[in-house]
Amino acid sequence: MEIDTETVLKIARLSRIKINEGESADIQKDLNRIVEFVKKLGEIDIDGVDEFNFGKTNIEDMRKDSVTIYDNTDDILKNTKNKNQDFFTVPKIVE
Amino acid sequence: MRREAKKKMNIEKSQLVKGAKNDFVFVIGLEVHAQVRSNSKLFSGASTEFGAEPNSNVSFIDAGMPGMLPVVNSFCIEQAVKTGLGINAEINLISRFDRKNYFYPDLPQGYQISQLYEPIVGKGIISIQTEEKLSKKVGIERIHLEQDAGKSIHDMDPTTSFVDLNRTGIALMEIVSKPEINSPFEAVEYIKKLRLIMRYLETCDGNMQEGSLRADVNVSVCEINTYQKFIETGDYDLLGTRCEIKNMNSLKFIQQAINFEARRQIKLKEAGKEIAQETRLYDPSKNQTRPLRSKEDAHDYRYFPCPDLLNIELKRGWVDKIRDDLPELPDQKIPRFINDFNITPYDAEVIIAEKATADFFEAIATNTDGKIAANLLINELFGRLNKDSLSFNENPTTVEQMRELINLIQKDEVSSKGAKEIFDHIWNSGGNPTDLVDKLGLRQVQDTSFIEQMVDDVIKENPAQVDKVKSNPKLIGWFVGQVMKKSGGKADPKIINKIVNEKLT
Repeated sequence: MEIDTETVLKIARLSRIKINEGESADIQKDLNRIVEFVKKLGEIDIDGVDEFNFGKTNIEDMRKDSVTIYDNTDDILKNTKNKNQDFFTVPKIVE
Repeated sequence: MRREAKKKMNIEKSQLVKGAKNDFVFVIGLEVHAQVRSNSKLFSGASTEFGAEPNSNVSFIDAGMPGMLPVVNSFCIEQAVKTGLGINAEINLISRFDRKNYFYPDLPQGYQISQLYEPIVGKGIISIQTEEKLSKKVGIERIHLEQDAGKSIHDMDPTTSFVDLNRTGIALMEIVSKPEINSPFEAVEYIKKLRLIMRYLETCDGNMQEGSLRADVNVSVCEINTYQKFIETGDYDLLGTRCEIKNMNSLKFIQQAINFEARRQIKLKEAGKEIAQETRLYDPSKNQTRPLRSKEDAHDYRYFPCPDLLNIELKRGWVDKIRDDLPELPDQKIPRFINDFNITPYDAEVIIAEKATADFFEAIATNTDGKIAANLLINELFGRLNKDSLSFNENPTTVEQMRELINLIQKDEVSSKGAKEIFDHIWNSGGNPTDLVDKLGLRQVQDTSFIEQMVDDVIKENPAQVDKVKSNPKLIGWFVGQVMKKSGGKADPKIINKIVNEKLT
């Protein structure tokens, strides 16, 4: 699968990442190199391997339903300048 | 597309919408989002408490901080399985979480962890009643688990929206029906039934005001002939283009939105126009739906299995144990109550509307008199709770008090009017009904010879009326009333009636 310019622009749009035309060519090149690299996995023979055969977890291994008090509102909001009282603020969402 | 032989179904009046030329059938499918009742979130230990201070129940996982890994809450899995069993659904022993990728301010991860390909619960059934009081089964397609998003608040500032992440990551069950709901009435019945089942199971509190139950409503309309064809073939492609009305949390608005949307689509069809498959919002102030700003690519969610989570494997024995431990559900409880306690279907339905009231009824009606118990519960207790705007768990009366009161009525020791007075007294200041009978002077006189004496007196005092009785048997009631008055309202009306009848007819 070759990633074309259109796909790069589409992914950027879906991710709300602004890229200008000059950048898109480089990004396209990088993405294609990544895809090419990952393609290596396709060489593994997975015939007859059930995708559910590994990586299973059962009830006993899961977390119990107990509450952790974090008391971390300041930490949660620390990385943004856009806050009001203890809320995050974003440009008005009008539907 | 599904092709299954379906049994012939009659289309009922309530399922039709009038067009200018033809009638159309409502075709409705619901996606109900039910917040799982749990202490902590689906993948983090943060509390699910409603109404906490903003951003105070947010773990670094919920906030989408890099490097944080989700860990499944086993109780949420159990709750989803329990809900599935409550609607007679298949439980999938292997299920899996997927990422649904989209960008939105209330979704800090940039994706919602959901279950697209391998949901935890498969096909099930919910029974409802149509507006014509016929019973009907609505198929459930699936239930999957997913994370709730944060909450955006739009009315606190003119230029910005406020985001609170407390809700982020709370477990939701998305319960997807087949498009087998055929009127706004049925849509509401379906949600009410689902909510009732989940409340009995204690898997979701069903509180629509707090947003713990919300629905996306899919609506299309279909001409009768085509719909008949659909019934015969089960071919969903016949049903026409649907529109999805998002995020409804009021039963009344759901009804109104469906009515508006069906009529809008019929107008388009009759004008020969295409209906666009789109997501719409219902505006209750205008009673209309409008399209969401068309978001290009909005439906490209790029789902893929969540690499942070392992597949969920359930053991058959574990599922069976949950099934064995399920409480008795409304569909079983109603016929049993009608049968065991000799009450009407209507009363049974009122009584089972909450598990707590059903349990209370059973406790007061067992080995007493079901009809008297139902009457007392519905007319007095529910009436009083309603009047004082109290919920059932604020009911001040006890099972013992109610059983005693029922016994007094059963043994004719108090009249129904007297019982009401005793009930009022218990409600306001407590007390023991047997003691109250005498304390309030409400013991019903059952002494036959004493009542007979009073009847004789009344007859003696009213010779003119006695003469008229023969031509006007309705006067018997007048005599009964006079005797009752003489006894200060304390004589047993059944005995008075009997004696008056014996003496005058």
